[in-house]
Amino acid sequence: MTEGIAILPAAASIVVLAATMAIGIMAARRAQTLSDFWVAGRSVSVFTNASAISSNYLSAASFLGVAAFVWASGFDGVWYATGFAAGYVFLLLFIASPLRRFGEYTIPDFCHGRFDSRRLRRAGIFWTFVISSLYIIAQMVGVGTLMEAVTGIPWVWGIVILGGVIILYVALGGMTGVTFAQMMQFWIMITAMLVPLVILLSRHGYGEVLTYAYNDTAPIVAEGAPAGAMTIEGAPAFSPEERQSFRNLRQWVSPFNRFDLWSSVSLLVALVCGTAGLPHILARFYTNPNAAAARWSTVWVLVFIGVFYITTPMWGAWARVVLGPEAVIVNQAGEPNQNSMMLVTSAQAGEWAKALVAAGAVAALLSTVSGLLIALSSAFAHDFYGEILRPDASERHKIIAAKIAVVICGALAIAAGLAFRDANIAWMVGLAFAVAASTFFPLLVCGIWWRRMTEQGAFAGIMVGGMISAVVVVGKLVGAWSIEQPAIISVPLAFLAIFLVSKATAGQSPEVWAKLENAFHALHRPGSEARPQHKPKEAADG
Amino acid sequence: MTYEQMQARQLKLSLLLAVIFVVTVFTMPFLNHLVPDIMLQPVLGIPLAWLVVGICFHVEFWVIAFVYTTYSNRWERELTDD
Repeated sequence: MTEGIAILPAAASIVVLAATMAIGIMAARRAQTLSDFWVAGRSVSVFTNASAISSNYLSAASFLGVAAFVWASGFDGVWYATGFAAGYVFLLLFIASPLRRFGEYTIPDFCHGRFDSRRLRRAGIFWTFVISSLYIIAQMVGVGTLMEAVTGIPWVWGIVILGGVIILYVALGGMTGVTFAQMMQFWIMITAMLVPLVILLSRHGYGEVLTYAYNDTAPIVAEGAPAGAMTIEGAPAFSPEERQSFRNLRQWVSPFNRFDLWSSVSLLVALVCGTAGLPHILARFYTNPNAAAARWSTVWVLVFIGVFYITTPMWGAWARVVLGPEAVIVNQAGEPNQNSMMLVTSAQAGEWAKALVAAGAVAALLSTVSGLLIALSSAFAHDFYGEILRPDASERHKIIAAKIAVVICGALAIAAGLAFRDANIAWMVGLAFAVAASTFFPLLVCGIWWRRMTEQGAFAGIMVGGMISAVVVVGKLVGAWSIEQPAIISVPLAFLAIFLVSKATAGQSPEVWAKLENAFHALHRPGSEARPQHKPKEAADG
Repeated sequence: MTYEQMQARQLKLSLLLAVIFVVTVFTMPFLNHLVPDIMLQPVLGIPLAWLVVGICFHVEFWVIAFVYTTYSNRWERELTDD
């Protein structure tokens, strides 16, 4: 793949890009109002939204990376995969439906509306910016690497082309276009996951594959397997010792190859709390017509991503046992490129399967980056321009501002992707989850369920959680301590700050308490979905 | 039933399901740590730990999500229909 463009995968990628563009252009005519642009008119059905939330969440790193993680680390990869799905349980039980009932456009809207506080909106904008920027830069760096691995397109062009397509269709169709594109992208991804796997498992079943793991035998060498042929310039990808370690399948199948006991626990804490605090995921719940639909959407998200994460370990196990060290190609630096694992493995089912996996990876990239771009630009165009700078601007001006914000944020993301070529993508995404878990997660859980929470408590919580996660990360970078996962410290401290400061400031005037109570009831009272202050015509919803 | 009572009922169900979720999920690393040999026994041809985490946990999440959503939506409908 280093010797030029791979025709079939490149063609499949172009088909996905073209279909996405077509949807964006068609949606542009439907995206007329501000509500269309930010929340797809709040008219998205359960099935569509569940598909869209799933593909918004499943990035290319999940699509190609988690299966490769299982291939490399065995059980710990399975734990990682299931942790991603587990994140939606808390989101469903405590956040999704009240958040939808509150019914604004963004998470900073919730911060402002729930506590009647402008400084909380500003804090919300700031942390949305931090979380979504970390996430989108990691995705953009990944775009270049993946496009190169998948299609052979040079790194810079991969970022520029994909970034350009995303900016164009998000600016044209807003959330309406993103929603339909994400739905299509999800079904491309799941097809790319399932169809080649069925062919592979018909050759060697999952049980057969895992039985080999017990017998400590050499990998089954598939007929026509590219034994070592996938390395460039004839150089072996792994040393003889490493090749030998691939035969120790008993070790591979066992837990704790990558994480120890406590990092297994804290990883899950970060995934469960972080998923429920990611602005680009939470924003999608506003697009359902009412709270009941938001709940059913989450149920289907769990089913969709559950199927996805049940199949990922199957890919990893099949590749490990059947292909062993031959399941990856090496990059120019001579290191095995884990992102190539699914491509190499799928080629065992045929060249068409490889093209399908390439299409799935491109769909995963497009869907996640477009969702992040919406979240990022809404913080500027809706929360900063539309609510703080020019609350009285006309709807037409606000829509123009939204489109300008999409173009600027997208261009900056492309620039950042080009600038941070060597960034550690996994670390950045992990950090985004940790910051989300320490800022929005405590604020949402307490804000939704604790009647006696005050504005001061909310502000203290979001700042303490965010700052402590930043301090933990910086301390780790300069070598002051070795704590890798800030969430395990910062999440409890954020909750503590909310509790203590709310208790200390409980002596509010009756008018302030009445306002807080009103907002609290708006979260929970059935049928209170329609909030007319933003858009009167939505009163008919729900 | 008032809306406050309904909300308390919903919260109680959420908390119960959350406890089930947290206990089952977080027990797993400790079982792997304490009884590794049992967790690697093949069940249906798949190592027990792989079967539980890779497949059974997902089914558990589906059941939790389905139970919560069915009851919460039903209680809300009953309240608004009154």
